[in-house]
Amino acid sequence: MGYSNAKGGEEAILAAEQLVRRGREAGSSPRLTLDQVTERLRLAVDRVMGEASLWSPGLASRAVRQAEGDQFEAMQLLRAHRSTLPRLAYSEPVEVAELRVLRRVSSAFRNPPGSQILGRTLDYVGRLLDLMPEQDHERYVAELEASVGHSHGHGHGHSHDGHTHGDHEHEHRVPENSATRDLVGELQAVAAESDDDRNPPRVMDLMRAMDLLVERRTGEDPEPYDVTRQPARPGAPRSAVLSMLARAETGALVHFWYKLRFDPRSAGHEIPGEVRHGWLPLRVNHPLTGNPVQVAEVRVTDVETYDDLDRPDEDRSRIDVGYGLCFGHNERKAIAMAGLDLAVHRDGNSSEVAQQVLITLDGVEANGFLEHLKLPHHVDFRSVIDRKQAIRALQTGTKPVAATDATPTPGNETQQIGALV
Amino acid sequence: MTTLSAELTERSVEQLAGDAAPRDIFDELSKRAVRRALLTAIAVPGYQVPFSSREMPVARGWGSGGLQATLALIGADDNVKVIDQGEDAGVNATNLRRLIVGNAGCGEETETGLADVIQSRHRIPEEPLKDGQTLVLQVPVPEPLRGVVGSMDEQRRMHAEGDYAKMWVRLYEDIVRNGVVSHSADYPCLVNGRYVIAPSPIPRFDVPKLNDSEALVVLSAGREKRIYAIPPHTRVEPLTFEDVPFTVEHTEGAACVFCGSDDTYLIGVPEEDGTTRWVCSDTDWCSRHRPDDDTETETEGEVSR
Amino acid sequence: MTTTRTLTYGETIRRIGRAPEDSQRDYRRLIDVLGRPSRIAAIDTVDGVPPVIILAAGLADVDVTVAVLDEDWERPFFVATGATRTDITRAQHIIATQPLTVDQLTSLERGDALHPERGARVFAAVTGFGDAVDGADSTTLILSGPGNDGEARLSVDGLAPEFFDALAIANADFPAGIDLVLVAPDGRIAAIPRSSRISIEKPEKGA
Repeated sequence: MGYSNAKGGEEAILAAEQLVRRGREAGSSPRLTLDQVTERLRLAVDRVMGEASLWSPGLASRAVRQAEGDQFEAMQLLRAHRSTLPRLAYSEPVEVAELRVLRRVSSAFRNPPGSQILGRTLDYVGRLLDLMPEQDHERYVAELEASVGHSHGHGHGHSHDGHTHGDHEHEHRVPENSATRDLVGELQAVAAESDDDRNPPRVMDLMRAMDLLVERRTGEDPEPYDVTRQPARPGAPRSAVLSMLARAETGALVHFWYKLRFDPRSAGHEIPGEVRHGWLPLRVNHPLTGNPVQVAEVRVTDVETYDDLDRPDEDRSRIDVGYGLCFGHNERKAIAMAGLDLAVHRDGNSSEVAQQVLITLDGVEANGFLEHLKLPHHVDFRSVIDRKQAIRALQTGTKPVAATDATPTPGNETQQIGALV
Repeated sequence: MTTLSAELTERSVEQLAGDAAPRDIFDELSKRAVRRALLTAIAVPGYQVPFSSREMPVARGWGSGGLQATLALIGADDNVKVIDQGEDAGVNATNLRRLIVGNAGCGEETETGLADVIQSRHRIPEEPLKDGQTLVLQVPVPEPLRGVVGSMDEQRRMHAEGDYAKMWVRLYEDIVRNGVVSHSADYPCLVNGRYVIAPSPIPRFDVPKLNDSEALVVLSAGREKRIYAIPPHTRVEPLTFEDVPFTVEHTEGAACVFCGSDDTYLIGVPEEDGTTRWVCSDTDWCSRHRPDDDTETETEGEVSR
Repeated sequence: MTTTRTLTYGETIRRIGRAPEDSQRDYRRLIDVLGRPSRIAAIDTVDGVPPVIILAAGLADVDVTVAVLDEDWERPFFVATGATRTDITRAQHIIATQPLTVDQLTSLERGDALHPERGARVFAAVTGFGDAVDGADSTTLILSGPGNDGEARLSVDGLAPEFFDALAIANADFPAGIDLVLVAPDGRIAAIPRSSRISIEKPEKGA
């Protein structure tokens, strides 16, 4: 008799684990090296780091490989691993103005101070599936290297008169092979990574100089809320909101942002003042001297976004700003974060939006809870059936209502619990 | 920045970390956080104490909270029993048990009476618990007011003020509409006359076991990051009305096909011929109460040791 | 109660820090007595360190704010545990090797109905639990509430009845309140959670 799905637990688990392990190594292809994961699937690695809330490309690539590409599984592995890491120190706050830019664009201004630095992006590359035959790949790479060499030294910071694809190509040698044409623009930008560090002035400073922004600085400098030490609940400060947004799952963020667009109060949408991808320094205070020491660099994406304040109770003469920052190159996440930071601020940090941001966007939690549905639930299911039968009996009058509990449990008296008013 | 050798780095990290160094999946810092939260939970029975729930090697929703509570409590000289739906042999219970045993170096038990800490999903064992035992219940949703009001702020206010009027109205409407209280498992209960709790999806059948128990009952929700507790000898009463007494799951004529019991929580197994066979949910209890006549050939539910 | 340190400073700090197995064992005894307020259990003692310090140290680290009301033990405690030091009115844990005054008790953080977890936890050294033959310096409490099978009694030596009156008042606004852990020099422990209703048994006339 198939009693339940719980027979022979230990054997079943061991068998399942064997299957997983064998499955990972199945097939004739060689094992993915970690370098291949970080170099060829870098955006997956970047995303996992953001959602696991742990900067470590080496560990993240392990997680992606072990999870066989399952983003959520990789996130869970890395987050659980993070739990086992000891806290050695707290980093010193950094000014995001220190970000060493790899890419920086602004939708709000055509020519922001410091120029648009297109950097490495797919935004203007046609979304065409590359169908190049596998055996042609080597020749393709050789051609690419040749064309990059020709354009070396070309300045990469340029103002845009328009965001048309054609403008880029006028300035570069167009290679013969049309299959490579679309990607040349991207490659020019790759070359830019080896140029001088870029530290353009921030659009925010420009906005402040134009006296357009709501002043949200209070002069206070409270300790950031540590969401790993204290669960965040509505009413928690902005640092808690930003922390939860930074750890949130990208799809959830995008979708939640998208959902808010259909809210009648959202007339238009915010406009990003700056989208940046670059390196931020990580500093801790030296244990002996107490002086700040840079110990690492972390690659992040950050976004500042501006919104027109248009609700009756808001200051209509000003613009408000939202901010988002996450590990790795993940622009859609940072843009959604900034938009949601604004939304929470406008609605108030005890609002329904705030509540949803604080507790429903975490990928590890949402996925874990969803998948737990696969666990046995036959004990409570039997209880549900019991209630249905009781209600049905009342409706049809076929049976008397289930007896006021008559069955004593061993060791306990029969319970007929009385009133609580 | 100079690169230290891997070994030197590891040693430096261990020294800097002190006893928060990772020896396992749950370090001392994390254990103390749970322990401190649990002390408050015991001092304020039924109040959901927020705690810094860590991610564990089991996914959220799969017992990460119960696991943290058990690992914070258990020692090498203890015996742990882990059950899911009342069964020791379930895959999830087995997975949790081996994580606990592997981490704490404790012993394992299937016999309820011999376990010091019992971690359970959705059941309270049939064998009455004793002074000195601790029951850890895995809680998916710790908030009993979740289905009553949406705002967390309002939920917290209701608990803070002991104002459960909206809950009562909901129960009343339920009775008016359905003739009975249709709430199945995870039945809301009042603890110490003060806090309404979600007792976890244990069947209503198990609710009376919570009242005036000899054991400490710990309810831990890892995903939602809350822990609450019922000390021994504490009043726990399911919410109900004077003229609508609390009823438990019951099917007339049902008895366990293995042990013959009709006063333990039974699970119905639908057969192909349309009939239902009933078996005890608590496999350990069932295995210990077989009739003397040992002609049983079916051994489902027993854990071979 | 005077504290005489015969150990070196380094040795003291080492002894304050409990091994994980020991703090786990201490903790089980602590929740046993907290869950049953009239019960007395015992933790293993360590030479040269008062048990109240040991017990509190097992629960302290950088994530909790502590006030140690003892000049001699204050610094070793914080060095050994890495706990965050703060003053008595804001600490989550208070360690008292001498009897707390009523004023001190009333100054402690009690939390509020929305945040009962903010209520302070006091680790107080006592001289015994009803040990003196003549009942000198002993207060017998009648406890009821969770954890007590009906009414229960706990005798405490070394804390005046006024202290317990003040405690009862501090805990009158449940769930706000203060939780009390009592530790004797030989390692015996008892605890009174804020959920307990306390009354003081009047001493009988005559020996």
